[in-house]
Amino acid sequence: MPDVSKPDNKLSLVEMYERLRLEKSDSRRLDACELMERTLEDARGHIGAGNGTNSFITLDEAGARKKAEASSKRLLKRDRVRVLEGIPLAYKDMFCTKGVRTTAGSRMLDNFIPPYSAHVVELLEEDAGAIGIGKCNQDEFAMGSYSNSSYYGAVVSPLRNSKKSDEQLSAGGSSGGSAAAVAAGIVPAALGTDTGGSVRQPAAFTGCVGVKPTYGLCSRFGMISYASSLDQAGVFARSVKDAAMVLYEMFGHDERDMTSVSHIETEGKTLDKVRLGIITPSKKYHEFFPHLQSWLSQLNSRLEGFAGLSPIEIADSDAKDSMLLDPYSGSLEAYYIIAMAEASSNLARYDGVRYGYRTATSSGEGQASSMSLQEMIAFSRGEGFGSEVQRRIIMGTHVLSSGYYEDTYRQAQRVRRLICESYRLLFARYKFDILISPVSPDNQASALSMDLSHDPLQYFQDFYTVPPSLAGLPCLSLPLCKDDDTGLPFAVQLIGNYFQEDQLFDVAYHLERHFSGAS
Amino acid sequence: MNESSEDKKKLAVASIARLEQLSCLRLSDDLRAEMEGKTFDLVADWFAKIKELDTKEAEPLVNTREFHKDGGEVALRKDEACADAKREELLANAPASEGGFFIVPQVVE
Repeated sequence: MPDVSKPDNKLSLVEMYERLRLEKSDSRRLDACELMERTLEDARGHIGAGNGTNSFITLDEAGARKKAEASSKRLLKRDRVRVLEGIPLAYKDMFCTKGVRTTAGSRMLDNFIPPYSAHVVELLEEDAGAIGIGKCNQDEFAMGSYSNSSYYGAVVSPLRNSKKSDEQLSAGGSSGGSAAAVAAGIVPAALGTDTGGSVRQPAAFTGCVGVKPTYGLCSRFGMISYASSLDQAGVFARSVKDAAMVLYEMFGHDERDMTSVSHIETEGKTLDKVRLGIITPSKKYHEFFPHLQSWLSQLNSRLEGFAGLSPIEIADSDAKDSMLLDPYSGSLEAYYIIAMAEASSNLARYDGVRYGYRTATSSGEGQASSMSLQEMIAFSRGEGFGSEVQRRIIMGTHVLSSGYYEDTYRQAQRVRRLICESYRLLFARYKFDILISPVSPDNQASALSMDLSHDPLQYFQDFYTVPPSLAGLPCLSLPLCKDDDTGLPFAVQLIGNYFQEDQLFDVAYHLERHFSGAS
Repeated sequence: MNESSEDKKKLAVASIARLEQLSCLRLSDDLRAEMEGKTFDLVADWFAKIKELDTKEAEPLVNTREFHKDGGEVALRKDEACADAKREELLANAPASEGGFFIVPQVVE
């Protein structure tokens, strides 16, 4: 039974789906145009530093209204109604949207208007009938874990710690704007990108479900590149079902991305046969994880009585006769070496010539300039990119330069193979179907005022999310309940085998129901 | 500052100057000072630790696709020239253009 007391745009995607399709005579029927007006009105309060969550950079009000009118007509006439007809969505500003400014959170692309849309955006809008209302704030070029490095100001979480209610919290990153927009109830679902945890960690911090599919499930065409061998599109929603409904509309082969797969074989396993394992780093590292023991004991006590699944086993890399390889060993270093190397190469395209920011000190009008072409490019990049992006370009160039290439970059690629092998063992030899781990070492969102943006310590934030990213495995971040102490979400990361998204959603759905008190 | 840390600083300064050139990126004075003073060594030393792991048996991995069940082949598209966007559309985002061309500082004397 739909909840009629909620404002229309706070409904779940499934509720919207149902109520948009009701008969005209039904008082609970939602009209796509009215839903859009309420959504846009709400979103307007969240653009720019100091405004709400600052989760939006750009709103496409005219475009969204026009599409809502068309959806409204289709729904009324029951004419070629598509799965997500009339549902408002928001996209991280990494997804190109034809005719709508796309910035990647950077001064570099402050004026960039793409002539095409990302493949996933095309699928969601043209094939599925969803409506993009605007572009979400994020860490610049998706590089960060706090959504505080954007040219457009930091994202603020809509949640508060019940013990420190006057303290603003980070929404996590890098897709913090998408997470905050969903958590604040502006849109039922939003797209993010996940290179090393940028969907899963902000989802955990804001109490959303966040899913990063198998690398290759969704086309990366039109998604601004950070580290191409790791980047994947992902979904934020307020429930597992909502997230699944969006993800199932955005995958498929696209010949413009050679890494997108053309066919998928999945093997369905009934829930009672699914084997879960809790995976944590080896005991010798536990001193670095002050929150790990409390996370483990909370998880164990809360999962007690969870029927329908086989017993949870600890996959401990220290135990004899246990894991031969440890997916955490060297993974953080390998991840940052590979990601920064790929970033330094990918971001070479921003030259201030074809698009993007050009330094004002160079003449752009064809008149004589005191600057050489080389200098013009170097200054444009120095002024157009923010500090963290520049640090990563420099370090990425370092690992690819002669003398370091073999020992760092190639070595990182070797470690990457070992990480894939260790997951293969966990799934094939040890017969786990889903691995459960923490999402972030901090467990919970940190204060917005805590600025780690100048400190490589922030890289540690990705400890639990990068190993499955390096292996290209599908993962889902699931808020199970509220922490007794702070009232903030208590979340877990579920990791599945390649293309086992169905199973991931199935297990997540049952965990969600278990924790919400449904039987 | 002892000699070795002075040497280290000199090395960082030289490295960063070279990396700025290689990546065609001019750092601001503040960011360069921060990189030279702390960040470069911190991150480079951390990265260098990866050497210590035993990876003798492992070939470098570029694409995770080989770990998929079917081994997954990469389907290549035909090597044909195509134009997805119009010239005017592409030039519309250029900081400076004229007569259908991108404008850059003079490169020929």
